[in-house]
Amino acid sequence: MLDTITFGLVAVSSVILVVAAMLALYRLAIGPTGLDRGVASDVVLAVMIAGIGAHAIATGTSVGLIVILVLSLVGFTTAVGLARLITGASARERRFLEAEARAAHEARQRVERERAEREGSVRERAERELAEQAGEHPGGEGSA
Amino acid sequence: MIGDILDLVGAVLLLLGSLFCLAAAVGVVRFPDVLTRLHAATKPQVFGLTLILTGVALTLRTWPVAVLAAFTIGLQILTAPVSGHMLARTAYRTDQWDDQHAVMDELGDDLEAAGFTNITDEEGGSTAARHPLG
Repeated sequence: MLDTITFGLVAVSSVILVVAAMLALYRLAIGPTGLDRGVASDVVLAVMIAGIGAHAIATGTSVGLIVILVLSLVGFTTAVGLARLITGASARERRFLEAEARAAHEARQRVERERAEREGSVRERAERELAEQAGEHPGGEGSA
Repeated sequence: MIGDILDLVGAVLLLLGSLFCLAAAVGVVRFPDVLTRLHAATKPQVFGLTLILTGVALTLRTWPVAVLAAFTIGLQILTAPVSGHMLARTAYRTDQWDDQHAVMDELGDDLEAAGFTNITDEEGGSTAARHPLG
């Protein structure tokens, strides 16, 4: 009786692990950045560790324990190495993007300043003309 | 009889660890940016592994297995925070996180106080889309 329940629980765990691995592989496939893929591969590694644990429980053998130890260390070195790789690889690219963004920002500011000056001069000229017309026809608006 | 009960407890612990893995996978798929996905993904690395290795030790019931499981759990408790911190720090430094929806950004405030301004912030958009290869 208890054996049957135990076997059922291990089977349900295996199905859950397959679903989890498929979800993590989906994120590994579509992940927009390299860090997303690194996080997803960590989840895949955790699912693999859980699967080896399920194998050890189902078969009653202890050889998987060494593999679990090695896989946990591989996950650590993978995450740290990936993090350092991404930081180093994008340092130059980040400087380039910052310079580009700064140039675009200054160009946009210059365009807005020129437009503001132009609109300002247009408005000044219009106001001056209105004032001149009002000066030529004093009381024109008041009598209308 | 007691052995059967211990087997059952081990299987229940394996099921709980598997549910942790499933929750992490769902979170990794559904959360919006790297930091929140990392928050979901680092849960089974320590707690799920602890549950599963405890289940294995309860099922096999030999001293070498228990010692090796304890050693693996301790090593994972030491290394998992380091790897998670490295990934989160890289995400922050390369600006690959969703700073528009962040509730608080104390490091950003301190960096601004120290004189560092990220000029891409003034464009009002995340620069994560510009790093297709990370």
